Amino acid sequence: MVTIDEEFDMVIKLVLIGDTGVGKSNLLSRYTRDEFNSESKTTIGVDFATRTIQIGKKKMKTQIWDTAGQERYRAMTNAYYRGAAGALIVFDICSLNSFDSIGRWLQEIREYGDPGVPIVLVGNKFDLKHLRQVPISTAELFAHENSLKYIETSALLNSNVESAFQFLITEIINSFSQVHKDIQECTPLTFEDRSDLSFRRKCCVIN
Amino acid sequence: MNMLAGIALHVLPEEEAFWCLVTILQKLMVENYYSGSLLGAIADQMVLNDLIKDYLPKLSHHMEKYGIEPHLICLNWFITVFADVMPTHQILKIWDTFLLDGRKTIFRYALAILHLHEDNLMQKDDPILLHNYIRLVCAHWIDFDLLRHIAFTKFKSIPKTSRLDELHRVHLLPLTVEHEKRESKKRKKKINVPLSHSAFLMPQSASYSPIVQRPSNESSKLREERKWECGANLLLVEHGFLLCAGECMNSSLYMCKPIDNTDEYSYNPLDLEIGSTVYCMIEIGPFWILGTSNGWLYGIDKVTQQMLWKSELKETPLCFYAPNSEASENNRLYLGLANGKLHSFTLQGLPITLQDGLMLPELFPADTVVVGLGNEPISCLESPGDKMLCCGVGGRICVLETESTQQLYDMIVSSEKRRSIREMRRSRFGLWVSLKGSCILLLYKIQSDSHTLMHKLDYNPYILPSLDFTKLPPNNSTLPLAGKDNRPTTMLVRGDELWIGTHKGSILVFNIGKEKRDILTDTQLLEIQRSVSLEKESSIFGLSNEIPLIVIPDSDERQEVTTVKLLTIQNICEHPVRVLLDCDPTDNLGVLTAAGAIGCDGSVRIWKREMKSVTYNSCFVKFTPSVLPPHSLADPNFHTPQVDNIIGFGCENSLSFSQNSYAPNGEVEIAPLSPIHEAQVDEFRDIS
Repeated sequence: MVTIDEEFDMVIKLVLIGDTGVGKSNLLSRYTRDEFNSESKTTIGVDFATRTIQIGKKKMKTQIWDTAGQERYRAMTNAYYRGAAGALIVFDICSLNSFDSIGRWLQEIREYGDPGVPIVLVGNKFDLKHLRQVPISTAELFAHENSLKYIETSALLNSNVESAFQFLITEIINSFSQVHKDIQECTPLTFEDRSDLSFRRKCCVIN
Repeated sequence: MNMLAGIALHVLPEEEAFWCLVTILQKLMVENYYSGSLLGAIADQMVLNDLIKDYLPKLSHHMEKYGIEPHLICLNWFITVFADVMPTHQILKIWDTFLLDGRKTIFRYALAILHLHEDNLMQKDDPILLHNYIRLVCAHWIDFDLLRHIAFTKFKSIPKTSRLDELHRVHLLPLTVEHEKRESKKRKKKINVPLSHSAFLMPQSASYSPIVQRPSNESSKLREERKWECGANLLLVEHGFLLCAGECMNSSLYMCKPIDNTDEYSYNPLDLEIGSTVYCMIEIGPFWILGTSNGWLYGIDKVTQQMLWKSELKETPLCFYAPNSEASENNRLYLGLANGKLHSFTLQGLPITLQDGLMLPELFPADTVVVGLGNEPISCLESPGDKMLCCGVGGRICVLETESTQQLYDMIVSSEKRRSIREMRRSRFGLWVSLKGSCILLLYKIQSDSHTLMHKLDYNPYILPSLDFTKLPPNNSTLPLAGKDNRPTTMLVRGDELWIGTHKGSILVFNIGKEKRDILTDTQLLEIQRSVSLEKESSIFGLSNEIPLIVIPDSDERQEVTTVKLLTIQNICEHPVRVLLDCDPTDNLGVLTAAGAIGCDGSVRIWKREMKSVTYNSCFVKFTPSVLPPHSLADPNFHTPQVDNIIGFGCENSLSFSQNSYAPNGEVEIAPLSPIHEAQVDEFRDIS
């Protein structure tokens, strides 16, 4: 979902998906509030957070949907993926199972979301690398085969968290500006048809 | 559910808290509220949506307009009965009425919260803002009495629980249907990789002619079973073969016989119930003897194909060894068990004839000798000749004197637990040993007082080209998991050929030979010996720079060296190769392979040499596998055979390869790996 808001040049919706317990909620809290909670509880349904970032001259609001990783919340996935502009698929580098599920998550987002949506594969819990079960090479190979970007993060140490999101947002902007390259030169660009909002549009061209 | 229990434990002793939880789950909530699918809870969200429409039409309209679904905000209110969102002292007040009235209370409070903040919510057009706002106000609630007042005055008139349940059921139905659809789709996508243990027997005797099996009358039964991995075991019997396939709780035996005047085979399941996995089979005297995972031995009459006797071992038999298959009285049968014990007994104690009308005799041969060889399972038995018996026990090989079962010595092959001995095969050059999870095969010369490592064969480099190197990230030189996937599943020595079947469904055929060579210098010797050591883990996983062939001198005659040449490499399917069986050692008829699901085309094949009088030094060997015809053309689930895939498989490349490896002057040429790889890659592409 890329929409126009009066205070922002762009609003994008990102989803965080991955198995339960891989650290999605902590990645989110680290990114949006710079907090880490080692005793966080499982997410029920969905959680949200926003953060405004500046890319070039553009002010951008990222709207991040932190979904519950447990299988049981699967029945509501349609709502989560609808209009997502990008996704972070998170796994735990110390858990082979969470890595094995990536295929399923990938399939799900391509099925229920926009099939071409940019995705970044995130190996979280880098701080526990002495317990690593998923070799970097394996994850990179997988990412390469599925044309995803791969990055390893630690929400605990706050390493690479910013980059992971930055990575994804850049991808989104790139893919988006490619699609609309020809249009933006002639007319002010409307990213989503929301006629009731159009009167208060301020700016909508991105490069 | 943990939150419900938490709140209950907050105010009640353990036992009462437990019963409180039970009551909530069984009496107050409806079915499927906390089940895997959460369908009950989701249906209640839809009921809530209906109520919002009726009681708060403005808000409902607003939310609809911006695509905000109530479950995004309210799901956790219902699942945790507000425990996830409110401070505890307020939750307890809500719980008082909840425990009395049930789910209706949640609806009341939910509507009251939305109503209290309706004006503020109307200004928010984004689910995130709405969600965050609601979460904030819930967490810092001040005027609870006002909320309670609204809940029980304004929303006093909400439908009764029975009416709510009715609405609930209306919404639940389409949800359930959709959920089922989704689940069945998921189930279809799952790849079935059933468990199957592999072990196989050297053929005792057989005469055999071309090929091809076809299920006959029992096709419906076979179709049901086709997902099974083929052949835990396969046994050659007179005029056909016996095939055993199964999964953990069930095994079936199939008798495969040639159909007269055709090239085809029929296979029929035998009328036997074996409620367990068959781990090993042997043909001895008048019997086929099966050993199963639940610790039983079964004796089956070869002629009548009836079960004659059974014997409970209380431990799983993993392997058999019989010096010969005659029914003579002194013929001993050796049996390796999972608890590290070796049993041996003669056929004397076993009933040769079936007595009509009697129960199956449960017997344990009286002359059983038990030898303990350690705590680890005895995975394989093989005789290296000279009246010796080698037992693979974990990573060791115990060498015994066959008759007396007296232990001669132990040899450690691998000190790593996960690399235990998988299989041993006797050849004229020595004993080939394969290890679990390793692509390295070792050739030992076993003598009654000592053993020598003659050769180390690492076949991984031959298989690796099947990975697409172009897909690898450029900065990455290690290949993940390649070694593990190509681990050997079965091995066969056939004259001077060594056949290897791998977990990924490839067969490799090597020719082992001896050549006259110049005497190697001491430094060369040293180098070779160093590379032979098994220490390097890196050579097992991933690519190593080691040359794939190591020629080491025969210890007796220095001029003669053992050479290993790759004759052919072939991917037969995606499943592990379970069986490699020499059809007839006296005639160059071929080798039988089995891999994949039983009843599928190509799962059982026979490989023939085309030219009869080929010496082993020449590598020009052509294999013509015969592929099964579709046993039912009407059944679209079976593929038609893809004969083109296999015929003419690159023999020339392997010839050039073996020429490359040896310089004409007889010295070992350390050829770089890449040309070999390229040749092999081309081959793979040609096929596919």
